[in-house]
Amino acid sequence: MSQTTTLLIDSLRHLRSRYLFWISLALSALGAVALFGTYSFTPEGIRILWFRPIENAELVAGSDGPRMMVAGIFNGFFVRFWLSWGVMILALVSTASVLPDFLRSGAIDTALAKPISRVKLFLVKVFGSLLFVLFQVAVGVVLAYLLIGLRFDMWIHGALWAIPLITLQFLYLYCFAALIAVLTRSTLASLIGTILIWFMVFIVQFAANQFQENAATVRAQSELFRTRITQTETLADEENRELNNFEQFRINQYNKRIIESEKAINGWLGTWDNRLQRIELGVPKTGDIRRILANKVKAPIATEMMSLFIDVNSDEFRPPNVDEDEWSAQIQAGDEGKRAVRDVDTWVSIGSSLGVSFLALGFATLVFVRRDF
Amino acid sequence: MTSEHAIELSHVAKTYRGKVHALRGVDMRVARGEVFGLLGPNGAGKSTLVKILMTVIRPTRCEGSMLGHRIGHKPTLGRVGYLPEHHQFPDYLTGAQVLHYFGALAKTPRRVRKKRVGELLDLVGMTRWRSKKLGSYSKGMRQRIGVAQALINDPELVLLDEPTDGVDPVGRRDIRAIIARLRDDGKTVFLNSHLLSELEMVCDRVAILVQGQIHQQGTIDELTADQHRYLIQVGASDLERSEQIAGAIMAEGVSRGEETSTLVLDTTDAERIQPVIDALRGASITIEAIRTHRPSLEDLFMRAVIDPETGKEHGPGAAENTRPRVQA
Repeated sequence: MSQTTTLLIDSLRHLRSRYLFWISLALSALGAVALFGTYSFTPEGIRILWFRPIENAELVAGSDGPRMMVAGIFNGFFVRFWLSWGVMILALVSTASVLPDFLRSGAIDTALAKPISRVKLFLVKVFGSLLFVLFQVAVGVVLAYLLIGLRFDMWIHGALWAIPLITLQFLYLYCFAALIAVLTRSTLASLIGTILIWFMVFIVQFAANQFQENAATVRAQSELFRTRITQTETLADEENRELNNFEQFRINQYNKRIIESEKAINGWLGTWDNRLQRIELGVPKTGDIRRILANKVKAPIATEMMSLFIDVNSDEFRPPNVDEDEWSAQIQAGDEGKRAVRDVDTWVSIGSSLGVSFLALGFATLVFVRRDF
Repeated sequence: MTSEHAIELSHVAKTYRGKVHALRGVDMRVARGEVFGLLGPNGAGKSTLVKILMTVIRPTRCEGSMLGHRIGHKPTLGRVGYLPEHHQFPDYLTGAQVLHYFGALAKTPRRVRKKRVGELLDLVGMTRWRSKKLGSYSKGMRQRIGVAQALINDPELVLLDEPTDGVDPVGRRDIRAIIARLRDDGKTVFLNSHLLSELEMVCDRVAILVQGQIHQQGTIDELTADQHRYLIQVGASDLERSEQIAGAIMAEGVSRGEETSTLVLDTTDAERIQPVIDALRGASITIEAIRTHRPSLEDLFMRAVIDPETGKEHGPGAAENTRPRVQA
């Protein structure tokens, strides 16, 4: 058995010795069962547990609705709330003490006194902590994958990408946890520091995504208004007539909106969008993991998911001063904005995030290699 | 590459953050196959020296070799066993798992490990506890596992830092027996301890480290060769008169001993005490006993830790910003 295997097995034993490991594992399994084992699709609609089916034409078995709903629940609830937040927090808490404990005087001495390089010892120990997340996510995701496949006859292979991707998300954060642990040898400092970094990353990404979505929405709106102006003018030309007053009024409104949009895009909105995109490039983009995964499982965006249960174009949601045509354009542009945020360049996102995280890990390794214990 | 010495060190120095001189030019040789004891007061630099040998601490300066290779040569550590002071092995492992874990890190093949784990647990009397987690062990039991861990790779050189720390008398005797067995098997044992009686019982040679420098090193006989004394026990009422008579003959080197009615004559020469005995007998003083006294390791140690300038013991801890002393 090689030194690497020995260290990894030891990491697994260490993690298994913690109650949180088993609690988290049980919650992962429970979450998968609750989200994918408590309802079914019938010819009438959806049935929850053993109750009478709720009639819903969008969710009739065999239609596209159920697949959309299952993918939406997988990405929007299971991944977003449990794997990306729940498991991540439990993993950070569970693994926060691994390195500080390992670095304690008396514990580290024996390992350092073996014929193993410090770089290898440290890096294998760091990667060993990833086993916590890998294990948790693998159990939850495989269970979810099997439940979805066996119960609904939908084999969403893309869901399995959650296993490496969520582990990668943890790696982004754990590199910083390792750095703080090496610098302070304190479990509390490592945990709080990592959570603070995560929070900062969240704020940066949230701001960047808001600006990106708004900018994309505004651009899409402008484009839609231009298309509508062209359509109106073409129709009038084809009918060989002048624009009537209503059409002229609408075109003026559209033009006004286009000017406002371009002013925003060329002004503060575009400037901050660009700035935040550049800043975002320098942080480990934990939030992108969910978006990459959403693309892998072809999860619906929010309005698509909502459309399974309500008519999002309904007049009851339309603001009073917005006419039907403009409301439809706004919804369409809003969807474009959401899609733009989700349209993550996987390799740029993962590459730049790993670059930043590995920089932290590299510094941590350097400190570990040069430190006296 | 072979050498008659398991450890050869010269000019080993360690300075922390430019101020604290933990080691100030240590020169030391440990022959192959001997049990070598390093003693010194708390903070003298003993553990620092051992940690430098085991690459746990990076020296400020270090020349020398261990098992024929430069200090810091990682592959050589596969031939060395080490028990650190205040070790903390993972509580979630069983005794057998600890041995397997450190054995694997020492690159001991699994097949060999499986055999040695059983043998070593038997050797340290922990076979019955092999499947119990360390969390349930007493300090002495952990220490036994620690000793077994240091031997898992069948090392040529074993460095034991305070091996009897927290161990009961039976355990101490067992550990001494293990050390003796290692010596019989031709292994070199480097013991780091401040339990002087323990060292005296098992060590072939010792070195005394004081404030980061070797004060003395050699066999106990070598170190005490010129320090033998004669003790003459007389009747209690005769002690004062005896001291006057002996003082008149020897002029210097006569004092009262710590024991009751004992006269101490600081000489290794038997001829020199004959006139004293004759004079005492001539004065009708009853001599109850005459014996030679060799200083114990504790006597040597206490002499080493007394600062000749102040006459007081060196305080604990390393020297700060002081120039290295001339080695004794």
